[in-house]
Amino acid sequence: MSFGDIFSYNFVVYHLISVGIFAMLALSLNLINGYAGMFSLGHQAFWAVGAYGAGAVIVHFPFQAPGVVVFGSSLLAGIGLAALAGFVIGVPCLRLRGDYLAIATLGFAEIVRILLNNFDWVGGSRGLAIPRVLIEKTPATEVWFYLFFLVFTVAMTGLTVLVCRNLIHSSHGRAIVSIREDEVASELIGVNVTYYKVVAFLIGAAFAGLAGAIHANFFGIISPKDFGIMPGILILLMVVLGGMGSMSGTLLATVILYFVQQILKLKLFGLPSTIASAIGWPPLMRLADTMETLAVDRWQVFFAILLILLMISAPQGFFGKREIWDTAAYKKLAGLFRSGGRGSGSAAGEGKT
Amino acid sequence: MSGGILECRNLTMRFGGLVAVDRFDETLVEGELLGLIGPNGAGKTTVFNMITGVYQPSSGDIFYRGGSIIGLKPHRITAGGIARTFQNIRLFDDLSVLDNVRLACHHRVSYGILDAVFRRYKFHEGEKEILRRSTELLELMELSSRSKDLAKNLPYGEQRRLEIARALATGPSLLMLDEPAAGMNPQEKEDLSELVGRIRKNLDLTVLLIEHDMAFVMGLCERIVVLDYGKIICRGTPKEVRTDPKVIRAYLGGSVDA
Ligand SMILES: Nc1ncnc2c1ncn2[C@@H]1O[C@H](COP(=O)(O)OP(=O)(O)OP(=O)(O)O)[C@@H](O)[C@H]1O
Ligand SMILES: [Mg+2]
Repeated sequence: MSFGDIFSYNFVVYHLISVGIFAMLALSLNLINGYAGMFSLGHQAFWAVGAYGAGAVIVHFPFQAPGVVVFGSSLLAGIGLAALAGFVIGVPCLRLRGDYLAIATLGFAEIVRILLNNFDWVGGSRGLAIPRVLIEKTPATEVWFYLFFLVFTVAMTGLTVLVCRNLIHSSHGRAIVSIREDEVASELIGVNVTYYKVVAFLIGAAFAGLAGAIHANFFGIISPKDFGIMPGILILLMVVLGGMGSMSGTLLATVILYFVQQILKLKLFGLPSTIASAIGWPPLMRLADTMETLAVDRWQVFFAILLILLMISAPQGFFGKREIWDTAAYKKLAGLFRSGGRGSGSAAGEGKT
Repeated sequence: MSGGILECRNLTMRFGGLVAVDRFDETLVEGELLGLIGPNGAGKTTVFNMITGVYQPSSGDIFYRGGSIIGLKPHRITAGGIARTFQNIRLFDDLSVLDNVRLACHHRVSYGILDAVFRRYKFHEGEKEILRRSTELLELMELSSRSKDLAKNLPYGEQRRLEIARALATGPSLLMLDEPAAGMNPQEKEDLSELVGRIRKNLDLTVLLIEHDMAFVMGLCERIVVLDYGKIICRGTPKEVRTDPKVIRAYLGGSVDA
């Protein structure tokens, strides 16, 4: 991997698609953790179920069919199975609060991962290779393969945003939010708290399933370890950093954290060692080497520490429960532009509420 | 017995060894305003919690419009027409005043989740109706100018009024107020007293009111029930209650055996 590679078409598109998948995961987790206030640590399970559901449908498709049909079925299977999993985990977790819910969902996610490890018909611990059903990924067709998934992922991320937004800015969404604010008061003003907890879990899981199905189709290989606790923490961190209950905050944090993670994984683009060897001082070269090794091998540790620090010192994240355009700083900024004769920036945002 | 909108029969609540409410027996007639008073820890709030389904009574029965509501989930009881406020204000602090009231309209929302997601016609109609109702109630409770503020940023007296607005938004026939005048100054109390009298007339409500302030209760209620150590020690008109020796003793802190 050289520095120049990061500007190549394949590289850029690949990471944009990955960001889109993470955005869908974070937004859907935000529905459960942020809006409904149920602190779930098991979102990676819905992602896994979506990915494996889609993968299994493609691998075991019972008859000859056009690629579009297989692709469509794989998406529906991913969404449907994940929603079912959301229901299955949502119902027993209804009575649990706080830490207990977190532990139960984490346990559920580990069970899913361990089961997948042992199901041979989806590859077990070796993982599952998923044939490309829509567009082959050969050197000749690669451009189109990437382009299709870029467009599709962006569209589906947009759909996730739209559905979450439309839901939250409705009476049903307000009911979900009221559970986070005060469950007892919510029930006593007539909100069926049980029902809306399940709804939040089900919709959140369904979109994680969609993300999983796209993941499976795009990467073409999945394995149980892709859906372990660490990727789960990464998604959680995106929501916590952005602000639980803020969609724009979650999106911003997703982009930032994804790229920070990639930069660490890519040995900081090899920049430290490049610079160190240019200077040519051996201790500096050793230091650069250590830095790069740590970045690759221990990025999970950095993220886990970041999560702990955030939960302790800034649990409200960037924007708390508000959207970017509802913050004082943004309104000030928009006001500056407006007085400078520009169009109003915040009107669209405020109209939503 | 019939004709009562709410009938409590031998309602008893035990917490371990403590009998918080002991065979509470009372019938509310449609349209009346009944005061429930008693010293601290007498069991008044516990009666509210049993009626609204927060606590399951240890024994006894509650009939609302003739049907038992024991074992129903709180949201069902609310949907049936019983609304309450809380002694320790329980607003949705981080939501706007308007959203607090809109939420209480939710249980009769006319559109489904899919209507909301696809922004169908039904959604817009339903939201319009919810907004109309909420705006009306905020106006009634003189909170219109506050509609966009967060509930937590309201002064105390306005928070109390918002609680009532929210309770009214559920569309109740029976309104239960738990110390609505607590912490208010004499002027605010007088305004509140007038307000409660007015909404009761305008909305045809039956009201059950807990209040410590004797003057407040005496001025507002036709009938009063006095609780002490979980037991009803006296009931009657304000005048009768005020002169009852058992009540006087209970409020002066002497022990009472009813
Ligand atoms: N959930 C509970 N668990 C245990 N004891 C309780 C519980 N709720 C109330 N109690 C007890 O029941 C008794 C009656 O309490 P309640 O809150 O009904 O009194 P109250 O008449 O409303 O008093 P106040 O005027 O102080 O509000 C008190 O002794 C209280 O400590
Ligand atoms: Mg009380």
